[in-house]
Amino acid sequence: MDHDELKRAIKHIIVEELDLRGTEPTGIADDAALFGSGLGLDSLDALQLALAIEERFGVRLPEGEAARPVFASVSALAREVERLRSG
Amino acid sequence: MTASRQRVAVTGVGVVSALGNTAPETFARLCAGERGFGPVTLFDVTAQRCQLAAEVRLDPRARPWAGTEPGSRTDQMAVAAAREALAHAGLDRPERELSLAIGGTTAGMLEAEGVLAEQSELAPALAAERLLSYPLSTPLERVRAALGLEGHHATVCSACSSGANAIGLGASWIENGRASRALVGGADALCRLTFAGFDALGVMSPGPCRPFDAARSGLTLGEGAAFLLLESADAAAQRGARVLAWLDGWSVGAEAHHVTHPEASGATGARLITGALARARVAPHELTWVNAHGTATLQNDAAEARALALALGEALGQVFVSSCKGQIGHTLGAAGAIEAAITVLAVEQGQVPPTAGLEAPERELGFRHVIGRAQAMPVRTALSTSFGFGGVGTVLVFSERDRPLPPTERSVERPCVRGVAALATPPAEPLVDRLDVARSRRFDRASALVTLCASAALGAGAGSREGIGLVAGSAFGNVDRTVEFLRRFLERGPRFASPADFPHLVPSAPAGNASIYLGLTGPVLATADLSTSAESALCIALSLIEDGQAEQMIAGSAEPHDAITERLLAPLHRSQGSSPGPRGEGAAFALVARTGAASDPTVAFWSDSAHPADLPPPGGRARVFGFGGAEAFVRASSWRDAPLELLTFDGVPREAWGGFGVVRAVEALWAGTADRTLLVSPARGQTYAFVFERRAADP
Repeated sequence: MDHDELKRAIKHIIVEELDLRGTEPTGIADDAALFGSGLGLDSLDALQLALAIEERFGVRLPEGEAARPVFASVSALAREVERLRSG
Repeated sequence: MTASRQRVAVTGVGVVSALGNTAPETFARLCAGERGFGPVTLFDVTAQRCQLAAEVRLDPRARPWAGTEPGSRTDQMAVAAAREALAHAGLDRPERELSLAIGGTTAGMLEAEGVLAEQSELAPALAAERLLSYPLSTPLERVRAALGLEGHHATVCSACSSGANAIGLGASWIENGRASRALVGGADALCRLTFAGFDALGVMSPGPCRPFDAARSGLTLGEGAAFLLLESADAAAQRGARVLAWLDGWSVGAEAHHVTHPEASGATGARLITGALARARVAPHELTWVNAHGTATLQNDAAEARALALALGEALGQVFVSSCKGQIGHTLGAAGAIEAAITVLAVEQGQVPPTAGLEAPERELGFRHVIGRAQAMPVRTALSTSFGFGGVGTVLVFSERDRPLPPTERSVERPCVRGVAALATPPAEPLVDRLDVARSRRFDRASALVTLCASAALGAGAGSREGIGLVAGSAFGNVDRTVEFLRRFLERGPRFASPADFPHLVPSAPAGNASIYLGLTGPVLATADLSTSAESALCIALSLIEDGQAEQMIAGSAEPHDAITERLLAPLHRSQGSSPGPRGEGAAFALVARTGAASDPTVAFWSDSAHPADLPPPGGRARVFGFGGAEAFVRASSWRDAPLELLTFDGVPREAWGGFGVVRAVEALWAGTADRTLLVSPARGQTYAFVFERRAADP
């Protein structure tokens, strides 16, 4: 799976897992903020997203403060998944 | 018109906790600073982040009831604590009219999930029986049967404030003269669902929890049960009962903020503390101790400290605050009851228990701690506070037995019905599409049904929703989604328990979700009483209005389509000679209020345990509505000559019919086809009855 496919997959997971009915995965910008003002997600969503990504890609994302930059955007998440999968 | 309000005495307590199977043992070890934590033995937690809990040591063969029925762990703890409270009060053989209210969240979940976890070849009948031990109303049924009770009864769930709300509701029955004695409390056994759920949320501490500590890192779960015997001052005096403490005030409300995150400002907690103190006529500087909710999560303890600071002002520095959860864990639906029982004993014995695990208090909390072991001091007045998922909270005020309190007056106006709404849909109808997406993410069908129907009952012109409450009934809760959550982590491992789904599985989630969506900040809770859950919800709502806890309440029930429940109920329906087609979905709610317009019908009578002789006479043009089995009750009453219509609602699950019956009885008055209507719902040996009436001035 190349970087663009990975980002597309993550966007699908976000819409499905976080029940963003009416949002098209393609409508989420790669670098848009996911939490707070962005998509309006909260820390409960972050936990759910971490779980879904772990289940789908077999990688364990960081928790707590270390998770903050990783969950900043779809791009950041994709980079972290690639890093963990190659490492 | 007014009448005097009865003062509420506590004359007995019973507790089952990790520190002991009786109240004296629990309290003595609590005061000594002992902690009840150990490795979880009830189920496998080896793959989870946290492996610690405060388990009760229970002999599973020692059933506190006659007969061989298995019952659940929750039932067993509930009956034991209920019996102890009665014995403590010197009422080993209580009168049949004794009223009963129980709060809880898990009921028979441990046993029900065992059916899934063991993947065993259980005989289908046994599997069904164990899955049906899941309904939230089972512990209440078990206690009623064990003690032979026929008085008022209610099962309430408001997540982690459930036990406290059962106590408050019982107090309201006594204050307003509906009961002279009530056994009230809560019970919750540990189970895989709650353990995996809190673990998935990342709020469980790896080691024993440390409430209010700067280094606190989350909660530790516990289990248990507790009951208080409440009596009116008159009833206690008549039999010469010893008063342990007075329950002089309480307050219940909701934040309408977020399903799991408490409001950071503490504003709602402060409103409830202030309201409860005012009701008890206690000034902040007269308060000795707060038995805090104190879960030891970062967010709870911070928000709770802010609530106390806002409510108590300058008096905060003189007040002792501790949390029992560092010793008995967070006992969820039982917590409010266990901690209330402990507060009663602290007031009675002049001993303030410590906060175990607290070493370096978080700075800027501003209140006084008790560290190590209990501190002896006169406890004139103490609070017990409880907060739960959905932002719901309850505060109870207990004061010492020689505190004088002049009698207070209460209004005896009849409440009225301001609006009704019924919603029957086929299961395929995409309900959530009618809701705002951003505010209804992850809503299950029950949450959508409650939100849509409660909103319709409120009507478009309701204006501010501040202070409006909601009681939502459901017979079985969300069995499908609960089983889906359990299967996922049983099959894939506990790390795959869904954190976002878990808070929606507590039975009060639909009510909580609807309160957040609609901005309702009054009392928000769920109830369950099988096919009379809507009737139970209406009785609870009317009692809360009568007690002054809310000006307006929305009450009813919602029954979503649930494949597992339907499959389990099919043999029952067949045995009764009916073979229903696919069950639709149904919800019906009424908006009831302390006052209303001249065109709003009043509620002239309501009871969850009515006798035919209790009913006010029919008068004028009367109509009777009822469900199968109502005929005998009506014949024995003064309404025997009024036309009786037996109601059925095609396409609506039987469990939801009660709410639809309320709508029918009220609409007959609005339509002008009757001046008074009676609704009769028989339920397992007793009867719910409501009388609605057009105002005399109504042309």
